[in-house]
Amino acid sequence: MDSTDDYFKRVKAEILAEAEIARMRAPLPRREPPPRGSTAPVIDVSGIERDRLDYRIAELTDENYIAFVEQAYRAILKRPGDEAGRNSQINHLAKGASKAEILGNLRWSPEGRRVGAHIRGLLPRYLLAKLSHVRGIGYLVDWCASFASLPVLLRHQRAADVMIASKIGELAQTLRACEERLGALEQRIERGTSQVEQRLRVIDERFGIVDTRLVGHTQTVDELRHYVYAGNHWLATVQRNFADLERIADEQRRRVDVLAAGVQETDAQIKAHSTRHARWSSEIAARLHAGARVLDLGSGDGAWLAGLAACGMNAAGVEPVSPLVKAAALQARPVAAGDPLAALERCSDGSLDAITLADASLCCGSASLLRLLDATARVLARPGWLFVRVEAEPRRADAGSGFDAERWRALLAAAGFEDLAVVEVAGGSLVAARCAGAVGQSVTGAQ
Amino acid sequence: MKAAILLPVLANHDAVGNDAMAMAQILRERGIDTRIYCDVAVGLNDVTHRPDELLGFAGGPDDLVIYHFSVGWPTALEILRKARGRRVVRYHNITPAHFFAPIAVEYADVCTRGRAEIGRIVALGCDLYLGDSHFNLDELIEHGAPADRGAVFAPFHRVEHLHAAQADLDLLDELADDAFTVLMVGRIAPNKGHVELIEAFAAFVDAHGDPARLLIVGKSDPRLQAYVDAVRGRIEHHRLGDRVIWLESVNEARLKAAYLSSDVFMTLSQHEGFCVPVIEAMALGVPVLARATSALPETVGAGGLCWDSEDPHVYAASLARLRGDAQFRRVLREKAHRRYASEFSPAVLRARLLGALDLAP
Repeated sequence: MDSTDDYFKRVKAEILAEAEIARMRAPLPRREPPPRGSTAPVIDVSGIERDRLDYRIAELTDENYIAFVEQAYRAILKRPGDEAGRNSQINHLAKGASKAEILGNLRWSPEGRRVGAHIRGLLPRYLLAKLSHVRGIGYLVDWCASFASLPVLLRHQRAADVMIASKIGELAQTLRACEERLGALEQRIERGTSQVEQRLRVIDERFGIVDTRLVGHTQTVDELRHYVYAGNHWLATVQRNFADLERIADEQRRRVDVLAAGVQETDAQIKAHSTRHARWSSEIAARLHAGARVLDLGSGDGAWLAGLAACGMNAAGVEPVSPLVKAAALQARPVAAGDPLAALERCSDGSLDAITLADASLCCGSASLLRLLDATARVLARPGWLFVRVEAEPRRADAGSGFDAERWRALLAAAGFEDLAVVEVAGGSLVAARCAGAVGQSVTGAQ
Repeated sequence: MKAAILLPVLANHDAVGNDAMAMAQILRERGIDTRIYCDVAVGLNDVTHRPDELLGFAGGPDDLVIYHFSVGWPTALEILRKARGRRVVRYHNITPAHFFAPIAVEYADVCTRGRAEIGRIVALGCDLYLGDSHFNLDELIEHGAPADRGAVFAPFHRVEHLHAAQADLDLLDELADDAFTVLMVGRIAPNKGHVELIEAFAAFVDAHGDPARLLIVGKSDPRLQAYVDAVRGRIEHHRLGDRVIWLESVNEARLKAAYLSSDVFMTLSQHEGFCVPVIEAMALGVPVLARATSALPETVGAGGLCWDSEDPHVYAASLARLRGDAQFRRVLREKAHRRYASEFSPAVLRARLLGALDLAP
């Protein structure tokens, strides 16, 4: 990722580009909306008589405390009281302000003036209340007003005494009921506490059991861990031994290669080889057209390939013994290093006109023979030929198939090859066989 | 030394109230006898005191008075003028009146009176001016406050409480579908950019497709009914009625559920002194998309995507990018987490408060 600033700049530029594209785009069709949670805010306006502006003062002073202030807001300002304003008026009440003063505060506020509610009898009372706040005069006004309202106050006092007495009676009854409920609750709590303690003891015991089991399981886990470690150790040892075996096998292969490279043929042997190979090459050339594609398996130092090329064939070979491949390369002969059968299996279907094989380069065993026959049937074009050279190869450590020419002939006949022939020359035989059937059709019944 | 925190209205779960109460708590933990003085206290169990008693408690030369300035309040000017100890002004900003003028005259009056007091507060020559943001402090400096007596740190908040709170399961269930959810948190007021938010959301739905949902969390005020009507008008105009959900009053559990259910937090507010919901979103892992006005670019910083643009298509394309690009969302979340931890965590704010007041241990 870029540095964060660069990343932000890039994202912002992409957003601006997207905004420009979106501006030009036609609006998308809208899907069904998600479930509706709630509607637009509904401001509680219940109980507000919007058209009524005329009130009597007694209508607005029946309620007390919060209910009184809320009713005053709804009647005078035609709206519910907001929290701060309502609390402010309640504070005034708590400090001893009269209801008339609260009503007046609201009525002659800027908002109240705009609404313009008319409350009969409020103005003189409000003025009187405000006058009582004036230093000196206020005190006298309070005195006079209080003196004038003494009879009313006395009547209120008596009524209040009666109400208080009745309320005290109700409170005492409620208190008794509360005490009874409290007693019952205390008993329930005690019962509950003892049950909880009992349960706690049971849980404690169960924890003890779980603890013991846990210790047992921990031991088992430790043993398992030990086994896993031992298994790991064993696997590591096996891997190390396999690596040693592979190393030894490589070393042996290298020694065999060195040994093979060190074998020298006598002049007589070389001459016999050349004669034999010249004869076989002409036999092969007689069965193939000029420029036929030939793959030789087990080419040695490439001398055999040179003979085929001299007869006009397009021949290449594969040889597993490294020193022989090097010797071929020195003489510019087309011999590749590698396993002959693996090379044959990599060729595509119907891509060759003939395959020549040095029997001595074949590993012992039926698996190798089956691989050879299956691959040959697939790789050879039609008509296509397989030629097997059965001769002594002193520079090879491999044992070959162990077949003589007749056994090769019998084997290839059994595998469905046709036009079989054996060309005997001193020191070796060449078995020639034409591959029958369609390209890719297995001669051994493999699927 | 005694300390007094002064403010006109102390309300629980209100940004200014949270800041004031957290400051009082920190000063008490430092062993300083601290009281809160206010005219009105709403929804609190704590004891508060009347402002006219402040000078009797913390008016001496060794005392400390911290005034939380967020609205015009002549009482505070009078008290600060008479206090003889260290005077500190914590400025939370006041919304300019022009936002409210066409909608609610009384609101506009309150804002005008409040902003008129900025100059008077500065003229008092207090010992320290604390801004929620550089945007706030710069306003004081423009009015003549000396820059060397200024400091900035974010307001104390309740994000940790929000982290610990259990989300409301009903709301989580209600919002659990494959709709792409865009969240806005803030009271319904003309400076908060709800109209622009609707325009951007409509552009997103039109250009980039459904299913999508806009979740608006915030209280409305009956006196700003005209603004609410204007927002609803735009929703109806774009035929988005079923795609916009209003949650007018939410507790902590519902607020947390709203954050957890949302894919993006978007605010196109035109005036903010800080904007606490932005850091709530950052802390809860909701990618932030904002318009770069007032203090918002400063609060969002590198922890979100900010555009200095009014073009709804830019915000719509940003939403589309956030919906489709998981790597971009991850990068934003990581940056937001880092920013919250380094700038806005309670421990950082506490250290900055004590440092500014020369009370660091």
